Amino acid sequence: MGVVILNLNLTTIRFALMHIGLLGAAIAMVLGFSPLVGAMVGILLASLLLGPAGDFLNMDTGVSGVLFMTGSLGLAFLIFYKAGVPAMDAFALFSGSILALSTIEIWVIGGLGVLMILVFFLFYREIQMVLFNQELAESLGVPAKGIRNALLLLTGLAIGVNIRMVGVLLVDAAVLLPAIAALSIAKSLRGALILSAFFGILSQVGGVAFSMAYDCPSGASITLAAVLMVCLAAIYGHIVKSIRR
Amino acid sequence: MTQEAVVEIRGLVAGYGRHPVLHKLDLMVWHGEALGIAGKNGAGKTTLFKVILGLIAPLAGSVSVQGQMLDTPRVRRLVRCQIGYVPQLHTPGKMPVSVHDAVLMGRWSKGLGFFKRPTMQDRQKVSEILQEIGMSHKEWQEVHLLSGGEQQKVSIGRALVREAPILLLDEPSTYLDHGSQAEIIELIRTIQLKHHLTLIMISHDPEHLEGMSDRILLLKNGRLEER
Repeated sequence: MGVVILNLNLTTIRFALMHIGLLGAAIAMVLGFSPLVGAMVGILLASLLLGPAGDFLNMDTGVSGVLFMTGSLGLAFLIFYKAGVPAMDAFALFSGSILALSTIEIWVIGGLGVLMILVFFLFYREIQMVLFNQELAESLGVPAKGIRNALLLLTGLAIGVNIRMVGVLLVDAAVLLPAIAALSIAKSLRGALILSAFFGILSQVGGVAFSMAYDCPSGASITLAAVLMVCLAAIYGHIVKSIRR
Repeated sequence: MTQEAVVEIRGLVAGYGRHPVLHKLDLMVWHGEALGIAGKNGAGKTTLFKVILGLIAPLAGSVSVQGQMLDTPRVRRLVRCQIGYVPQLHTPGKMPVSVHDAVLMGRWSKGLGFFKRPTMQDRQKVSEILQEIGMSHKEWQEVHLLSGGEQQKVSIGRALVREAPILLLDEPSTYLDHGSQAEIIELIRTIQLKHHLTLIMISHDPEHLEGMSDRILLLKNGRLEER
């Protein structure tokens, strides 16, 4: 989903979704539920509402994302203060662990992966048009707003899952860095999606293997593996462009 | 040019929310005509295009394209298939899309669509159009690596591949260097004659429309005036 975030300029949105996750966790803790469930529900609802809210308020999705982000952060701290919830308990969500996933969570993540592959396989051309130029897609008769909102929802789900795996602060490493690496060398959207998934898997597996071998935190190891991948891809892309010239 | 109205607009009031941009606008565009519409930024040129494309519904008045009144979402969707649209040249994002794929996008709702994959015929049509606009040699190059003039040709190719009788062009030559401007003007004239197209072009500067238009109208205060 990093390819989608970068091409639809959703970098603010993904930040907003993380903070909305915090608000969801705060509400869940006050109501006595699991903060993770609250965070996931919050992210899910927000990704459903962000697109239509931006259309209704006549705002760019990035701008409505800022509104949601600041609003949810303010509300979360208000809830922490008024309900006497220790904020640090909610902030614990910010550091996930791929090694602590339960069997059900692994199934959910697997199911979500299959769903995303299916969506991109079935609607590849429509998604390509929306990512290329939303205005143009609309003029061609593609339901661009609907596709953008569906992509927002999938982005929200991907971020929710990654929060559990690497924590909020390292979500960028799992979602964005593989996409940045892929986009610097891919020659088509299909190539970018495949390479992004490949780099994502490689950085996750490589990071976890490194963390197990050298007794390091898994999140930090995955992040550094992804950063290394971006550097290598950028160097490769630069060399290829120089040869083409 | 024949005296058969392809686009007929009467008393059009259109805009966004409660703020109309176009006020009781009348317009007749004749078959085979190349019409230029000039107006300052914010005059309502893009709004007029959005109405003709059926992307926004008029607040009042009537709009008909090829004899079909754009009064329901279904008709607006159908009429959109009969129009090729060349948007303003914009800086493409970093998403890698080949020239072939960018032109193929124009086949959407003309053969391509949900659960409809491109056929050999679609791809052949794309190759023919690329040949016609002189972009065959760059068929598999990424669009964001092309020059402004080449990107505009790709955009025109995408509109042509729709095999639509009407082409709407938004600032077709404005943001190009002189050499590319001349090339695009010639290309537009050539394709119009070859495909018997009706063209509607908009620009903020009437001079940019001169080489390509049979007549030029000015859009001022939401209404059209003769130049």
